[in-house]
Order: sequence, then structure tokens, then C-alpha cells
Amino acid sequence: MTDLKLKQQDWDIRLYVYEAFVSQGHAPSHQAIAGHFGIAAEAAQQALRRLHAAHALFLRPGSSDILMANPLSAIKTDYQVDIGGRRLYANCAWDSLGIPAMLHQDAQITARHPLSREEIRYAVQDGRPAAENQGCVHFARPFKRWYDDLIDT
Amino acid sequence: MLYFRAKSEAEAWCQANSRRLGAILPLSQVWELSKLWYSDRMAPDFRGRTLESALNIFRTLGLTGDFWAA
Repeated sequence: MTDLKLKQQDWDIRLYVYEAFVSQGHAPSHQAIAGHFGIAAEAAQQALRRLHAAHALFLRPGSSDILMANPLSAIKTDYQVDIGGRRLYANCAWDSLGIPAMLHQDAQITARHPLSREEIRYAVQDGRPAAENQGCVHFARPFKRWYDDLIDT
Repeated sequence: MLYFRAKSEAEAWCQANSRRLGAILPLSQVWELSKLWYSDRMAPDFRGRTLESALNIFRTLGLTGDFWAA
């Protein structure tokens, strides 16, 4: 859960990360964040680390590169989301619906089947899952363990 | 969280990967969860998901029991 003691600029940076992520299709670098806010690169890195510690976004281990800003993934995953003329990647099946929920737009999702690796498509149409989509999502870890291992979760 | 076309596929995946079966939610319920969890994520005044708000969302959707407990 999020630490509510972050600075206002941390929250501003977090929002910028999301907006840049969505508009550009990839996560902004700490240098880009520093340039946007007119702050030193080190200050941007420190803000990202605070946001990471507060679970407001997640960095690659040992770096200040953004890996996840849930529901968005900075790397290609098995959950590709085509939405509003752009392509984004979700961290998991839940997040593949989280992106259209966050952006309040319909979306076409192309996933890889976890067992067969075949392509599976499902969609959000007219603000709800398309009628022909009768699938399900497996939540492997109980809620209290979601942050033990975000990749596995 | 992985997408499957049917519960039987999720069970087969767990067996193939030596994993215990977790919770399986229909896509329609995951959509409702997504809306409650993520619809305000890009609001300028979003300040994170508190534990209590997370648990409230689960309760709203009827997600109860130890799996959804803090």
C-alpha cells in the first residue's frame, strides 16, 4: 500500500510518469523527468526511489529505470493492449483490463495462453468485456502476499 | 495474474507448474475490480491505494475470506 508521506513533487512526478507512459508508449527516463521538472537528474532518481518504496511505481532492481507503473509495463509482456490508437503492455491479465479502466476507453487485448502460448484475444467494448469473452483470471497469490514478488503475482 | 479461457485450464496450469490453485474470477468480475482499482489512477489528486480502500473494494465485489484478507 502507498506511503501517504510522499512530497507533492513526488506525486507530480508520478502523474507525469503515467501521462508520458500513455502518450509515448514507454516509461520516461529519469533524465526526461529531470528535464520536464527542471530538477537535477539525481533528484529525479531520488524521487523515483521514494515512489518505488511507497509502491506508487516499481523500478528495475538496482536501477532507477521504471519497470511498472501499474497497470502499465515498461517491457513487452504476454498482455498487449491496443487502445485509442496506441499499443501498451500490461503487467498481467488483471492489468490488461486495468488499462482500459484507467483510461476510460475500450480496448483490444492480445494475450498469450499460459500453457499453449497460442494467441488469445479479448476486448472491452462499450465499457464492458465483450459478450463473447467468457474467460477467467487466476490470482495465484493471496492479497497479503501480492507485494512479496510482483513479477510472480 | 494469468488469463485462461476456462477454470479447467487454470487448474491444468497449476498442476503443470506445481502451484496451488489460487482464486479464479470471471472476466466480468475482474473488469468490475479493474474499474474500482484503476479508474482514478491518473486523477491529479490520486494519492495511492490505502489498505482500507483495497479491502473495501474487495468487500464491494463480494471477495471475502482469507485469500482477500490483509
